Amino acid sequence: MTIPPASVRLFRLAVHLWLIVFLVVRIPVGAYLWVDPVSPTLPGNGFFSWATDAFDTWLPGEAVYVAVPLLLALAVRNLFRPARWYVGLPVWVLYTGLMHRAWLAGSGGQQLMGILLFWSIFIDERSLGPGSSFRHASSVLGVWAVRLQLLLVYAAAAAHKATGTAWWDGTAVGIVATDATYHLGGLAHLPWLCRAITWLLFAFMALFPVAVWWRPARRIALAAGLVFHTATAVFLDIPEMGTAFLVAYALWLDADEAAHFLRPFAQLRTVMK
Amino acid sequence: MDSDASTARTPRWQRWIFIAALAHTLVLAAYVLPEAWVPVRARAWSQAYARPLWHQQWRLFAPDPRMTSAWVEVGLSDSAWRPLDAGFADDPAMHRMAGSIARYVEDELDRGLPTPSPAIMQAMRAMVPDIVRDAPHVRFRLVRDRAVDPHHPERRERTITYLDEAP
Repeated sequence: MTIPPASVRLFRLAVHLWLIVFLVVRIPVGAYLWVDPVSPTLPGNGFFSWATDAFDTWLPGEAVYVAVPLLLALAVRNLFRPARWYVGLPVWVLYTGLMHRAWLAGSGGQQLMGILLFWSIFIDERSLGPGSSFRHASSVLGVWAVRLQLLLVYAAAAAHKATGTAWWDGTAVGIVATDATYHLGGLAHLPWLCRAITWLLFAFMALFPVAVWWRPARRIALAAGLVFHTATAVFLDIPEMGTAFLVAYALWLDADEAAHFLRPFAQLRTVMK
Repeated sequence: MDSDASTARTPRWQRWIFIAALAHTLVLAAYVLPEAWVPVRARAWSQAYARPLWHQQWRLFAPDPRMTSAWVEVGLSDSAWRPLDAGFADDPAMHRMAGSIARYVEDELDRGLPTPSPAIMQAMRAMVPDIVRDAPHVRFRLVRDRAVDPHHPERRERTITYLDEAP
């Protein structure tokens, strides 16, 4: 089993692009999220509070005025510069701190990105050539932790749905579509389509963790996931959730597939030079 | 994964790294899978391991989607009401924040609490600083549209609960 350096490059690029967009679109409401947060303070996280709740432990609340621009700057740096653990660590600490400070606006996508950023500390695509250095080993660990994390998410989501009734009898998407919280009003008038989507989604989540281990099935699973997560990003008001999943897809791509997606960025870099 | 001339093949000894990642994922699985599927002791160990750094839960619309669509409204001086996030146009983060508050309020009332907890009341007030600034006593209410038949979820019954702060 191999780890294509191109897919790792694409992953790192996608993670930090996601982070930049996530921060920029939140700055207009940053006062409510981070400065004078609406979300009640979380109860601490024991020994690891220094890492996961920096703003309520060793950093004063006002530090968000520095933290957000710093996090943006580090994310931009990581788009162009090689991976360094001592850059990845503060990125994860600051991101997690901000996420917890605005936990009422949180989502599974933000949680997933926190995990991806944690393992990004370990990953360096330059170390993946032949050899057996410590850095090589830590990169392999990080890549496999992310790959398996993605499969776990789908498996857990399918397992929880399997314990209910609405996903079996096909009513789940219809219930969501008629919920005023989401913008799926049009779908609600097509009950047969709601039923079909319910079962397709259920099957997708249950089969994805199995399908990715064979190339033809993997391509179909990733393409189906691309459609599904793009749809949730557009229609479910949680754009960061669908896109966070797509970021994690990068590490399941083959070298040629990853190179294909990297081409526009390589061209952009050439133009900028 | 497939072999490719441009990719690096993982040495045999590094299969142990894959096994370590797999073991990590299995412990996380004990943390995120349905409670009934996981032995009690494994669940306890997984919580101690996963919660500090890798907390996650994947129960969106599961086991079943909520049958109620709920939102909190704030009372205006002219006896009109507006949703908590009305002042934020279509900002997804604030929209989600208002949705989370409504779900907390709903859950707390369903658990038999007479009013939302002080922390959630404070969050509701923090969502509408423009109104709180002008009126010392702000009124809130929870609006719920409940689907009574999952096969016809478009038919919903509305209930309104007024959320007075405990004296």
